[in-house]
Amino acid sequence: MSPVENLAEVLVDVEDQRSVFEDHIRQSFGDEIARVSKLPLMERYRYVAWMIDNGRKHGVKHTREPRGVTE
Amino acid sequence: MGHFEIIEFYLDLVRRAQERGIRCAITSGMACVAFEIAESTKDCDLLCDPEMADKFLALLAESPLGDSPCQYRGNLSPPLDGRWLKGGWTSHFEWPGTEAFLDVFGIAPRARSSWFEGTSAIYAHPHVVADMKRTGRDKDWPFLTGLGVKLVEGGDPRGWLHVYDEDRMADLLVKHPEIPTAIIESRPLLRMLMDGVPGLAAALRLERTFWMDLSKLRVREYEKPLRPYLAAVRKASAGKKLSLLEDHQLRVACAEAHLPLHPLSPDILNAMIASARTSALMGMTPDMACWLPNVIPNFTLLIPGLQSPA
Repeated sequence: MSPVENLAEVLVDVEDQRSVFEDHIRQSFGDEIARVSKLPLMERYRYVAWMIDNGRKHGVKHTREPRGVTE
Repeated sequence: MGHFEIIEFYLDLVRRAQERGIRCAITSGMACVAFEIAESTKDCDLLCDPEMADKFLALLAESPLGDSPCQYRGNLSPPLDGRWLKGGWTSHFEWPGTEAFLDVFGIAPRARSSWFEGTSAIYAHPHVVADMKRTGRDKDWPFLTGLGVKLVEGGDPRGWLHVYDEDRMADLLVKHPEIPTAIIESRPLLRMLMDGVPGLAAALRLERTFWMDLSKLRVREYEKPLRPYLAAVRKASAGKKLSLLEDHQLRVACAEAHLPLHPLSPDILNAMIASARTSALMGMTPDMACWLPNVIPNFTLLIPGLQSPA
């Protein structure tokens, strides 16, 4: 078996082992979120907080108008 | 204050509530992060047993964030009182000067089972969170599918109720070929998947559109009585500096005068369902209607006396 064929086989194995959930996260939210989703819980929260703080630094306003009912 | 500190504050608040015996659970975005679907969520959505609303209010009253005490957010927020929580209203809170926002509700919108049955965890069950994500906002639907897939892969077939991606469904079916009959009866389009009937993608779009329309109609029904309540709260609180508990008493009085306990009745829901069906089926062949689910079980906790058709 050539190295290329060998690599192809390995990649197929990796595809098979990856869960449908992992595929969904990667395809719907991208590689970065897929990576973050595998971190320990508090690290995930830390990442989310970093995104929010970063947005705020760059002028993203966070306003939450109360509606009396939740969608 | 960095947002991580705010997240830690939310988690601590819920832990302290549970230590006091208050049944409550984090849901929506923060729960999705816990279920390994990282979402940039800024506020905390919390389910609280309506019978324990007064205890939770007392906890909020003694839970400042830094120097900032908790207060109701805006004049529109209904009071945190079990009577209104049972009817599906949401109470909104904030800690002024910070970006901490808390929404509290007693009935999980569209949940088919009571959210606190069998749970003592800090987060609501993914099955409940998934039903709540069935909103009128496009951005929520990939989360819904993610939760559904996670449930199925974890051995909980109720996840099949929440997957809205044809490719994910096909992948799941290869690994989990058995779908219980009761689940298929709850969601007829699963029969298309099982039998390989063409048109699954269209049926998924139809069902999603139907749910989105239904969510928007539900919100509209709640918004109708809010205007007189808002005016009453505004008038009663004008020029006053109130503590959380004083503000609460004022809101209860205004709500007793203006806010119905149960905005949705069986008749209103049936009209909403008929409208959402008509709207979703626009541009589709009428026979597609057979793939739409019976959504009455998603409202039986919210609407007293509501029963599924025999």
